[in-house]
Amino acid sequence: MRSLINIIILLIINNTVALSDSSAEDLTNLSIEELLNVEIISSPRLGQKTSQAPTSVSVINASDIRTFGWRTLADALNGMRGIFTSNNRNYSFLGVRGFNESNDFNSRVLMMIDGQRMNDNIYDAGNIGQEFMLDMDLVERIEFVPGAGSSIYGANAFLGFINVITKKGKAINGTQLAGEVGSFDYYKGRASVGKKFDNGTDVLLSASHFESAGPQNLYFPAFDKPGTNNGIAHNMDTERAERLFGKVQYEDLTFSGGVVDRYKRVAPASYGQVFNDPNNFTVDRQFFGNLSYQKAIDDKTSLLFKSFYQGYDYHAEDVYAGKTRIISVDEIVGRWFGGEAQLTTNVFDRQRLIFGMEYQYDIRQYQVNFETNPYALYLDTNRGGNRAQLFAQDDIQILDDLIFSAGLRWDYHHQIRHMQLNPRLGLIWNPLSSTTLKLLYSTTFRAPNAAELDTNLYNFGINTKLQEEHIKSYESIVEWHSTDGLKLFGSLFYNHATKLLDDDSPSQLLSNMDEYNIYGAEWEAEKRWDSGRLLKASHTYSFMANELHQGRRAHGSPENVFKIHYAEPLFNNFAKLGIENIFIGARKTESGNAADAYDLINMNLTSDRILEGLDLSLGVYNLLDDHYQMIGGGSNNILLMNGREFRFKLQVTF
Amino acid sequence: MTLKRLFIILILLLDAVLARDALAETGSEAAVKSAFLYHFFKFIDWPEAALQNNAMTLCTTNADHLGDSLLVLKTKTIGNRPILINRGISIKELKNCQMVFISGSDDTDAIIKTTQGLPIITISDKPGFIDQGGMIGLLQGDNRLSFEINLDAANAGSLHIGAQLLKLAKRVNNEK
Repeated sequence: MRSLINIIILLIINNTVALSDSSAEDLTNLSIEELLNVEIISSPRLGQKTSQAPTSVSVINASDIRTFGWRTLADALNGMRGIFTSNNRNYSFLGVRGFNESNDFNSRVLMMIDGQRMNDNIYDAGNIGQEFMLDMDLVERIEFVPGAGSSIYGANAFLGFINVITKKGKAINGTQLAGEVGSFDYYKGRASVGKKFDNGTDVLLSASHFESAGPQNLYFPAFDKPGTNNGIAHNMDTERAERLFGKVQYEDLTFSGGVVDRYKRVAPASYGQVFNDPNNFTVDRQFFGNLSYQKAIDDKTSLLFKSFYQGYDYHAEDVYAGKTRIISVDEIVGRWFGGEAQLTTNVFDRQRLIFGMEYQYDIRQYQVNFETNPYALYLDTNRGGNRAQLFAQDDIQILDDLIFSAGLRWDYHHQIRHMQLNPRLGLIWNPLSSTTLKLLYSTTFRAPNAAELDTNLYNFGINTKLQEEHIKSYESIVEWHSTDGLKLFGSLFYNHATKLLDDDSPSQLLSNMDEYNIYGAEWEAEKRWDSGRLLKASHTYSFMANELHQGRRAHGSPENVFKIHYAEPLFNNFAKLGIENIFIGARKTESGNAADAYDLINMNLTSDRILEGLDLSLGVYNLLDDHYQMIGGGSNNILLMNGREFRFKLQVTF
Repeated sequence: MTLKRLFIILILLLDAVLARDALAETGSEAAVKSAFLYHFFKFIDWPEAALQNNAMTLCTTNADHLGDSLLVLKTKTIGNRPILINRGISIKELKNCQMVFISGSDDTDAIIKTTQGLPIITISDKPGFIDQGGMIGLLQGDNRLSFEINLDAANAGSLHIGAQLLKLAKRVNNEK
């Protein structure tokens, strides 16, 4: 034991000699070639160097979005390692590293825009389809952190978090008009202005309109009877969305705000609705306003203050056939405001300390359901209350190449009975300048959302004893990179999720009953050439064991997810071709069969060299014209997705 | 020699080899910009007459948004000259600087006018900076930073820009 202490003392002395000022981020030891390759990152609680953060971050940027022609956030996320999206012809859902709870509206993933939480206060939904706040053209970067690393961010970061960083006005630098046309009467128009003024004020304003008729006829085998139009839903896939977004930045102060309004006709009639009736639709409307102030007090300490006001409205109509034609109406109104304060300091030698607090007040969590003709009120609830969070993290540089990161978060949430205390621990070792090894452990919870607490599902009643869900995450990571743009990543992960909400039979009430063990391995290789060529491949293997069913593979969870992205500049940079290949393994359905594995190939050709200020792109999505399968729900066990689609986009900046 | 001692020595040796700063593949915008400024000091030659105060001085005239990141340069030397940082000084005082970083709210035209023809490197992250008469423009695109150089302006100030910088620049403007 004595000798061990001696070693440690000697190590500390040895390393103190080698130590330079470690308080601020120092990149001067990189060569200028390496600097040109440094990726810029901004999630405020990740710290600065991602190689030293107790997480595994993956990043895609505006150029990737342009190269691969991703039309929605769901498209872009589907291209990131470890994620697989699914779709029920209304909403898009995220699966993360094998974990997929269908129809959870992504309430187990924290969704942020510029660090501001976007999950609403009714469903805790993280919207990623056309109901997402931003046009993809306004996105500068998307950061995704799965599992273990995410817990310091709060209650929805159960499986991970996504931070979408918006462009600055400077990136548009003028007026930009964009028009898109595509298959199934897809049209989109956008007008944006952006500028950085001489006094440093940066302004971005953008508005857009999108509409798509969708396939004229959709076939649903479950309804293949003469009384239900032989299973053909005619003109039932219509979708529209309008968006507004603005951001003003002056010195340390940033104001941003946005609103999205999206209408979708719902074709599947999964839960007893009248099939092929255009009065089955949903409307999602969401807005936010955010004021943030970030100030460096001195060399070593910086402060961040934020305040926000947000809202979410949902209106849905479903047609049922009783003695009369009954319309069931859902009216949902959520309003909330809050603030955040965060202090980051390096005043103590070899330590980086973060203290933060967050507060949210739920003003309204209003849910109404009624039927017309004859009128009957089934649900009329409202709630409100406080959510508060305190967190602290200390990254201690034990040795020059070894960091111990310890974080702790305390949560009060008005929708659960007990306060929550969750740790996050990480050990980060840089044995070589090119190599990082990480060991991570964290736990977190998810409170039942307002809809789960108050919705009287099919009139079976509500369970007043719902509690929070829990997850423990363990991960080990290896990262390696060369000096010329090659990056390798490997991870072994294990998640243990308990008390997950599910319908209990025979009571049909929601209850904290599910337990899963999720084991897996993930790797990724990425190489970016100076020429603009990109080659990226990733593979995620996972096994999500449903412990309520003797550890069998859980529904909706694919064993393998495999992705390849390839971009090649053509004709001396005159154009760029992006090819994306996404393989998602077979997923078991509730009824015992499976949605088949599929391989999706998308291609996109872009050019901004034809005329100054003109940017053109032509994309082919689902090149193989495969009507691949998604898990449905209710009467639709499997849903078939659209075949091949084209999109042409023209953008002018002046 | 006991095995234990051998073990200690081995560990120390290994540690000495590995004890160096971790290489970052990502960084904050301010840290990357600051590191670029450091490299510009290294790869640019000033005429001897311009270096009489035995230090390399980096100046800014307004809020430069580089925060703490810039302060790392204070611990660096170029040759045997330390780097001094003078933040928020008036345009009139710029004549004693070797490098000026211009950002956000600065009056670009006034600064360029003051430093024109002098051995003072002007650098900015404002778009179109080198077309306005500035020497080095920092550009952000593709989530990375790059730079472009106005060789005419640098030559006018008797500054010699190293070949490596010229090679790596996105654009070098020397059409005249």
